[in-house]
Amino acid sequence: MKLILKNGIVYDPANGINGEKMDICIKDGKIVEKVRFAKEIDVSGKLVMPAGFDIHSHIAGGKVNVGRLFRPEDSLRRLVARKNGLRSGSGYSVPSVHLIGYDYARMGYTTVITPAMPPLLARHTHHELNEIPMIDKAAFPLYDGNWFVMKYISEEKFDELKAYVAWLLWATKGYSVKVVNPGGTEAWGWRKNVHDLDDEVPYFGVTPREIITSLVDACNDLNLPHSVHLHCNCLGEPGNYEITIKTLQLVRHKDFDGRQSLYVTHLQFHSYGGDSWKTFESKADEVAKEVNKNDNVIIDTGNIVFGDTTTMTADAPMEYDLHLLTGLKWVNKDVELETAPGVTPYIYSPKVLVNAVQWAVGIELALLIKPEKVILTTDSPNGGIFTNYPKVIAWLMSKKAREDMLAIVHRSTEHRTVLPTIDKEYDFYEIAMITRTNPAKAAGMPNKGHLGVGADADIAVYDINPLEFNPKDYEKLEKALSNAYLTIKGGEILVREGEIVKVTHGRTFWVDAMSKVDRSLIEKDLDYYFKRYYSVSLSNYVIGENELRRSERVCVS
Amino acid sequence: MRELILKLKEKPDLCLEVEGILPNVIVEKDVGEIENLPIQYGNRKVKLSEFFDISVEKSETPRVVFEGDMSRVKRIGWKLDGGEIIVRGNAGMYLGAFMSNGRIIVEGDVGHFSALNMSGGEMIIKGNAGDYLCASYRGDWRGMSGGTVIVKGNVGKELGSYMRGGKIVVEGIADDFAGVSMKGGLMVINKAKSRPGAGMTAGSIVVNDVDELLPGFFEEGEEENPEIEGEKFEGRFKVFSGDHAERKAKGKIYLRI
Repeated sequence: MKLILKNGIVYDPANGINGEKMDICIKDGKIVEKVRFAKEIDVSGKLVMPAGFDIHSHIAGGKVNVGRLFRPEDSLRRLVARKNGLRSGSGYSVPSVHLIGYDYARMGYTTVITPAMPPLLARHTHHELNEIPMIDKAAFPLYDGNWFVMKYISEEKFDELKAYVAWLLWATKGYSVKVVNPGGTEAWGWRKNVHDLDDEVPYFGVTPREIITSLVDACNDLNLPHSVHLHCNCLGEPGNYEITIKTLQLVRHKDFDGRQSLYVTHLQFHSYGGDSWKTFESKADEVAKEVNKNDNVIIDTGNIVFGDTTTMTADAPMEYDLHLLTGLKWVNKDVELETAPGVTPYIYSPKVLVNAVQWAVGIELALLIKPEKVILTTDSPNGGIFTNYPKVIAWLMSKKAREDMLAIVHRSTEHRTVLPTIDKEYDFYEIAMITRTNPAKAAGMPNKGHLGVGADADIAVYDINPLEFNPKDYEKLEKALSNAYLTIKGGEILVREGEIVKVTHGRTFWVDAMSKVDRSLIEKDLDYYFKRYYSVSLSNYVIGENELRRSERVCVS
Repeated sequence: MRELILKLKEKPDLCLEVEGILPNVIVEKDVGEIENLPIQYGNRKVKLSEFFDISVEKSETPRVVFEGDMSRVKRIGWKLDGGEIIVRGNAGMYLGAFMSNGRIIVEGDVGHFSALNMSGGEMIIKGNAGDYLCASYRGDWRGMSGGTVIVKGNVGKELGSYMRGGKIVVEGIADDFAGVSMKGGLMVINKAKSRPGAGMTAGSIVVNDVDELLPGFFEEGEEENPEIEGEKFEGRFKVFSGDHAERKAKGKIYLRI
């Protein structure tokens, strides 16, 4: 199919295009220089950007399903009937499988990565991803509490570690290395946690510092497209900004050509000062300073949005603490040799000082860190469901939107944060950066997140004129961004004026780095561990490429 | 003002769901429009007139009257926000669920999950009620918050679970686990079977007779003509506090001697 988008106002930071009126030509699912006899669509006066890229959103896997199962009252909050050939569904903070795809497409997003896949539950995760329509997807398997990883690190066997990292990516059809509360989830098996980079994990004797640096080195040595995707220790604890800064400093001198060495996720939950809930305050400025100085780090914000949501992470001790705090229901799971996720509901209330500070921290981080190092997420659904992105964008683009919110939240918020003193307002170029270009670049997907010749024709058009946009009029912006005028994926129009017109199924990206390692190094250990400890056999553990609906293998050179 | 009388033609094979047939909705509509209102029959939508004979009469308040055995008609008065609903016969599941205002009177028995998450209004049940009367919606920890429910007959299990406010009066027998995880409000029960108030942290249960109390309840002495949740009760009561299996439990059970 051939298409020309005529006269749109284009923002494409990867190619330095900042609000220029131009045409975009599409042929065979790619963006091309010129095309003849194509169908023309007039998008004059409308905002044209590459389609959205969400690098951190829990959309599939064991936790998400548990969230659905144990929150029937959340399902009741949103019921969607079958309509125009679309499937029915339910769920507000944890929507059902098909709704996730529809909602993302309506917002103009076409690529989403689910960031925490317990390797043992990879099959389930992929089967769920297979069913999510509209979007391209990938999954990051978890490496943090993995017995193999900790064994090889404690025995200082770096080649074996590399071989295992590559093997697990291949076996689970994963995309990159996710690390959650390194060491903490394994210590949780002993009813403990780690609170410092040098706390030892029981039995294995390794420290979070060793786990992070070894895995960063392994990722860099293997030349994986995405770096280590790290959820730091001590999430959500008052005063955790110190350990966050120490963690960021670990990679100060680990330069890597072409991408970051460390991706730190939902930084908002890791930028708190104070020593108790009473003295809880924002330390976003200190953390932002370190991120700006450090060339090898990229972060995503993990903003919170006020309301009722379901938190789910592979950080079980943290979820348990949260459950003690709120007294609400809670689910914990131990995934054999690998990790320990937890799920609990949470209500972010603007009248609660801690929540109001959290809200401010997320925005401060985005405003204080250089836009080329920021990625916008809400750690969906932990900070708020992804359909709230337009709201967060409005807060970033409009000081008035922030002031209106500050008037509602707890009075003491302004004393605990620096948000009221920040005048910066994002423009559309920078918004395109933090929601499109940066995540695609950080994930190492060269065909995504830009509109240069040869890129995938994933384009979002919004019904708002960016040249006439007044930041005071932020409600209009929110509305426009929530319902894309056009969402084009692979050259096909999926959404027209906020309505889905075509349902497709995207590809699943996974990384094959087996050519760089020698599998025989770990063969013996794999056999031994699977025979002795796992509840499944090695041959049943590995996921075949034929189990993915549309597999997209990324070979590492 | 007027009254809509809906007479069930015959007991349906599948359950009907009459969500949306509310006094405040029908008040502005003419008979033709009312006949065409959609209701759910199994997995398809049908017209109201397909299963009901419809007639309209004058009345003081907006009112909907259901006549016949409605035990296979679900969601009568779902999200009721004013006016009156009268059921001359039995009612099915989810009667008056999520109601916030108005009044429901049932002359027969009602099904499970009636008055679910009720936040206001009044409900009078002249027969028996099923399980989960006045309970919270499945999974929710924020249950009934206001309103009054009076049951002349018996009620099923888990009456008023996660209740936060309002008042329930049961003149018959309440089955096991009445007031489980209660966090507020008042429950007056003639006779409770075993384990009323399991996991309760606040609120009061007044009971004339009980089969078995949980060991989490500690005896606090006796009271004469106590005032409970702002209401005077006559007689002598043994007072229990609990359920101390929970942290900081301040619930009370008053047992008549």
